[in-house]
Amino acid sequence: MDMIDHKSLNEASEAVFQLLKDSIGINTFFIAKNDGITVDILSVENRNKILLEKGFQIDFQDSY
Amino acid sequence: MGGREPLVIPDLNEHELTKDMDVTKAFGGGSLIGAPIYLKNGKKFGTLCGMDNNPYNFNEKDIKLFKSLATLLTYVIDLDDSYQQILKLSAPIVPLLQGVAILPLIGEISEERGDYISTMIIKEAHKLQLNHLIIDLSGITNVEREFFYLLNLVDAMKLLGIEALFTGMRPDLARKAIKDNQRLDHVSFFGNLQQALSHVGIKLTV
Repeated sequence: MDMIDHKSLNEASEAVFQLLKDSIGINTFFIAKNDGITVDILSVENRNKILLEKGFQIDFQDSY
Repeated sequence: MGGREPLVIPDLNEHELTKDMDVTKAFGGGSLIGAPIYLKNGKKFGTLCGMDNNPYNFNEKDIKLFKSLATLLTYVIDLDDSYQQILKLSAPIVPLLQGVAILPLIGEISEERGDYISTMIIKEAHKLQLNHLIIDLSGITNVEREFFYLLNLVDAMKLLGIEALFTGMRPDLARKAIKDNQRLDHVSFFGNLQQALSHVGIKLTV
């Protein structure tokens, strides 16, 4: 995996999650990076329950 | 998840794609929405997703919002990408003769860029088996205080057997260095490139 620093993305995701949270009544919003091999959770927003945490990584095959 | 349209699964236990997956069973069902994020070059970067451990009926507006925000993120990711490329291009070491190279620094030196340049110089200088590296400062437009940490490079390079020489120090940089009480007695400065070259034993004849 390349070591690109997603500084702007991390900052922008906060605003994006806020907008989604205000509009859609589900618990968790996240941005996943997917290079075809692994899926990396770059940023997460959980409303009430912690369903997912940042840094979580799974095999592409086992993910949605 | 493939395609450019968002994937919408109101109930993971009902949907053809997900009802038999281990992750659904482990999760106990729920709902999922995912809009693909593409890079400008058309490659897929990832997904903007939403999920819950309960089923949820996403309406047209929800799906549209996900799609629009995913498109917007493309530009943000592109910005990060471009910045990384600029960082990489920002410290070109130019080999001159066996063991001697020049590094012209241009533009604004922020703390982040200063850090990057330091790491890069040590790595490259070692790889190129340099004895002398001439760092020219005349193209620098603005510096943060942290720039002067660059001068600490000199010590690190000394350990690697490389002598760092600075040229093109400008009056305003000099004033700033003195004001900040920088210790400069271990650093070699030269008025211009020619003097630095002659110090390392290279004579230019025209």
